[in-house]
Amino acid sequence: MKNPPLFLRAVNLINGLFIVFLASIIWVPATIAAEPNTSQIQLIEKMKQGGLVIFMRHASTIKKQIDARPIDLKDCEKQRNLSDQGRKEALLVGQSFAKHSIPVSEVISSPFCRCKDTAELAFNTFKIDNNLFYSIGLPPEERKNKTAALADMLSTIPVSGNRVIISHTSNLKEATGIWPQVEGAVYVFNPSNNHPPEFLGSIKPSDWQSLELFL
Amino acid sequence: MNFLKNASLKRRLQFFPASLIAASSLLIGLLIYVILNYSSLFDHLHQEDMQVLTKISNISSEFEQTHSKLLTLFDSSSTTPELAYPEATIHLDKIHSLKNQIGKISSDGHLELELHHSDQVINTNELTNALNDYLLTSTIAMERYFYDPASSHQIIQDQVKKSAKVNHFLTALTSSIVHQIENEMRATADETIITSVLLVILGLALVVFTIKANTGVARRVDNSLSAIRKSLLGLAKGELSVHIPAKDDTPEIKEMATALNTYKQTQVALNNTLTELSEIKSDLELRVEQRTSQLQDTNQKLIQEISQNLMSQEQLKIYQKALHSTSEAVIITSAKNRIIEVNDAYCGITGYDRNEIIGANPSKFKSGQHPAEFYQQMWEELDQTGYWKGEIWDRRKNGELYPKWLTINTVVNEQDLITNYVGVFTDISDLKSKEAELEKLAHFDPLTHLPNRMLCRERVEQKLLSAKRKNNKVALLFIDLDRFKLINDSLGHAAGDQLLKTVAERLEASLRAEDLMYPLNSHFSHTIARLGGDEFIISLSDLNSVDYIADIVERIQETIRKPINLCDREVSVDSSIGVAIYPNDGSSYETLSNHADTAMYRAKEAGRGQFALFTEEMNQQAHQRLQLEIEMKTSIKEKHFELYYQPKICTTSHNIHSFESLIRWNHPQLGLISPDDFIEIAEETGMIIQLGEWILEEACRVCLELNHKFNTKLRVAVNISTRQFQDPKLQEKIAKALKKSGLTAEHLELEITESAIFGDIEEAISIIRQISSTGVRFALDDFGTGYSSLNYLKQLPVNTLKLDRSFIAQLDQADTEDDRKIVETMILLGKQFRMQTVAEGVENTDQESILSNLGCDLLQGYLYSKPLPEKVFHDYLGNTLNTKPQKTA
Repeated sequence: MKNPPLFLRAVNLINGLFIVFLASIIWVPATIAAEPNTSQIQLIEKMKQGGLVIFMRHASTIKKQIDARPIDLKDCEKQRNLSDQGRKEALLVGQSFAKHSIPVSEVISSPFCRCKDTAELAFNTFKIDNNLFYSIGLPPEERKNKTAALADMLSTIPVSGNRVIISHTSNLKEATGIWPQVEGAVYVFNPSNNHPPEFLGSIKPSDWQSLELFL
Repeated sequence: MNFLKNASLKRRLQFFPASLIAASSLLIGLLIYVILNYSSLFDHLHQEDMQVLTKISNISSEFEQTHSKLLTLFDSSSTTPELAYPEATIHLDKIHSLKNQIGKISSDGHLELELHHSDQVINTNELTNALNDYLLTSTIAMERYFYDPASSHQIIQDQVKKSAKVNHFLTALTSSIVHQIENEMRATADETIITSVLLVILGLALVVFTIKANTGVARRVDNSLSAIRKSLLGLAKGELSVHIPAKDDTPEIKEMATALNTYKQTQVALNNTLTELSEIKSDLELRVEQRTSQLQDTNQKLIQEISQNLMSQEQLKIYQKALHSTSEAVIITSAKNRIIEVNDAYCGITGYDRNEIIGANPSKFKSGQHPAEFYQQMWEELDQTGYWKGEIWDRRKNGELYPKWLTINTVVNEQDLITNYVGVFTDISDLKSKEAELEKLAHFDPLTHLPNRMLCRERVEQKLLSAKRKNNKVALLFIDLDRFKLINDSLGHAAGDQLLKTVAERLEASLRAEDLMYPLNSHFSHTIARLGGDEFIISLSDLNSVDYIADIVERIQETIRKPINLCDREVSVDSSIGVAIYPNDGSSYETLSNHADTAMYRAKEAGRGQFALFTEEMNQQAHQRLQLEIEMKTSIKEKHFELYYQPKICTTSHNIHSFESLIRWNHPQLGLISPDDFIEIAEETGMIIQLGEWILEEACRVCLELNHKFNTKLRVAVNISTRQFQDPKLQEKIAKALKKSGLTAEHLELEITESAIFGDIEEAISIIRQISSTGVRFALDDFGTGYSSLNYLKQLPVNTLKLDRSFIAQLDQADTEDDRKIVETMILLGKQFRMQTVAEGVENTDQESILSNLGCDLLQGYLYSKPLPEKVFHDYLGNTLNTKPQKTA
């Protein structure tokens, strides 16, 4: 097959460049679309003011690991633990809280190691509440009691600052019907005594960095 | 019913109705018991066992449902965790509640904690544990399903396993409850059957007893009374055998019977005493008789036993002697192969003392020469046939190995079980070594230690077979040393042997040497053999090409040619080699060796140190030769040979001085055959002896006839070949020929060649002396062509020297001063030794004048006459004797 004439090759080249140019135009709006909505910014503003209950799912874990059952709380080796990514996430969440001066008055954690580690890395200090024990697999009676206790924590207005609860997916699902899919994500509730709490919004760990740009 | 035996009649009659009432009430009681038993069983079953069973089966089906729902849920990837969670939780809670139900059943005590199920104790706790396990696994599966659906598969499998376990326990539990119910029902049923049977039997017994008892009592009283009446009547008649009724009757009858009995007994006792006395007497007599015969038997047996014992001792001694006096070694072992006896020959051969080896295992003497399978086979054969023989190597006490010819037999008892092994053997080591020597003698040449003709043949035949398979070539080299006989004769047999040994070593070395292989760049195998005399044969096999055969042959010739020191002399020997190649020149050893031989002869004919490859042409020549050989045999018989005669002329008188007889073969089909073509064959085949005898007689006959006819004293010269000369009967045959013809010895001259006398000069001299002592003269033929040395010429008692025609032919040529001088010297030499000189092949007058000038005594040749047949020679003589010899220009 013969080479096409020179001018045709030049046209091809120009066409190629044009496609790259078009792609770059389409690309720019895509990154802009990833920008968090204003409600997340508003959410942070509200968190700065305190008085909210923030449920945080433990940060990313090592997928391969499985909790050995029955659960041995004393032995972290037998549990699913934070991955390196998870540790970074926990630190990031803590730093972001500090950077945005989000006040934290108490940190309550599930007795599982991945929650305790998340609490330790993000907030340095925490207390353990057995009511936050991973609810999957618990006998119905026990689960009911623990869910009631979590619901209580979510709807009790903190004395000052925000209350941070670090626990697991199914626990929040049982208490509020919300399934916190993303690890390390925070779910913010506005407590009102004697009423179900109001869900304000959530922030995933990956959101924090892009939020920086706007705060 | 002892109490009834002594009861009066009234009592007896009262007893039966009372017992009837008691038995009836017992039967009714038993019936009530059976009914109650059944009702309590059904009550129990209804209230407890069936309920538990229902619960368990409910639990089982609910578990199965829940499990399958869970599996379906975890298996689907369509729903989100958020949606799936409530459903999953409901299922898990269900399992929890099932677990609690089990706990409740067991804690309510409805279910005994341990149930027996097919010999395995099943504990409800185990079921609870299995459910717990299932719960935990399901929890993990659920968590995984939400967290990492991809990895939940493995755990679901695990979950299935756990559920199987739960099912297993549930089924076991159900079946054990069923089993329990069955057991309870069966127990009750068994009890009922036993009770019913008992009732029937009792009822029947009661009826029978009542009837029997009533009729019995009445009949018995009647019987007893009539019996007593009968007895009384009998006794009154004096009959002692009369029957007295039994005493176990009612007291009233008993008393009567007792009185009767007392009377009867007294009578009977008297009679008995008499009979007993006579019986005792006859018994005693019988016993004495029996005892006597027993004693006689015993005595007889004792005598037999003693004599047998004496006999077997005698036999044993004989066997013992036989065993130890035989020259064959005998060894007897137990069934477990322990030596229990050996004889003196055994000790002599093995070197072991009898006491040393009794109890040992013969395998102790194993030589280690045979593999384990050998012995295994030996034992197998022994076990199967009870017999084994063969050659086996063992070790003597001094460690020496020796072969023996061993025969083993098994000894079996009446039950066909082996009790002993008996081995008999001879030491065959002497036999073996002789065998080996014989083998060597048969196959190897004792002088050179090379394979002999026989082994050579075997080996070559093997190589031919292998070459046939591999499609290779084999070359057969026939080697003959040139002038070996000369060396053997002149330097002695010891030197000849030394030469053969050296040649053998060199042949081996030359074929082994690397430098032989190198330029040929090929590997082949070889065999060297000595066929006898100075003939060697070499076979080269595994040849892929024959291109380098010539190289090899030349190298072999070079190797042989190198000087050898024999008797302080440097001797160099040439060899003639003939080569035949498989498959070109033949496919059998027979053909190949014949062809190589033919080629070798051709090489020899070509001169010393030559070699020839066999060609088909040679084969044809060889055939011709063979043909001639056959023809010659018939020709001798049928007298196709004829003598021709050629005169010798005296140089001074020009008269016929004598004549030479020359053989001619006048074949009816082939025509006239030259002596050059057949003398050699005759010489080789030995036919020359027979032919020579005829020639001698014929020549003598003709000579006498001529001398008579022409009144002359002519002398006839007869050629004697080498073979003839060596014939021990030569002198005898000459005498016979002279006698037969009547010719005087002085008129016979024998012409011999140098080669005839060269073999053993001393011997030749003595033969010539012996024959010439009878008056026969000798001439040395072809003088100057051989290796004539003055040294032996001086000693040789010959009368004539015949100068070879080759010298004479040159005489009349212009530039042959040297030849003339040689002839002159030879003539002078003859004169010096006082021998007559004869020149052969004189063809012209120039030659004639030169020779007569040089002083040659006699001349022979075409100038005077060609060889003539007898009749023509007659005419020639008749013409010539009257005149001077005519020169046939």
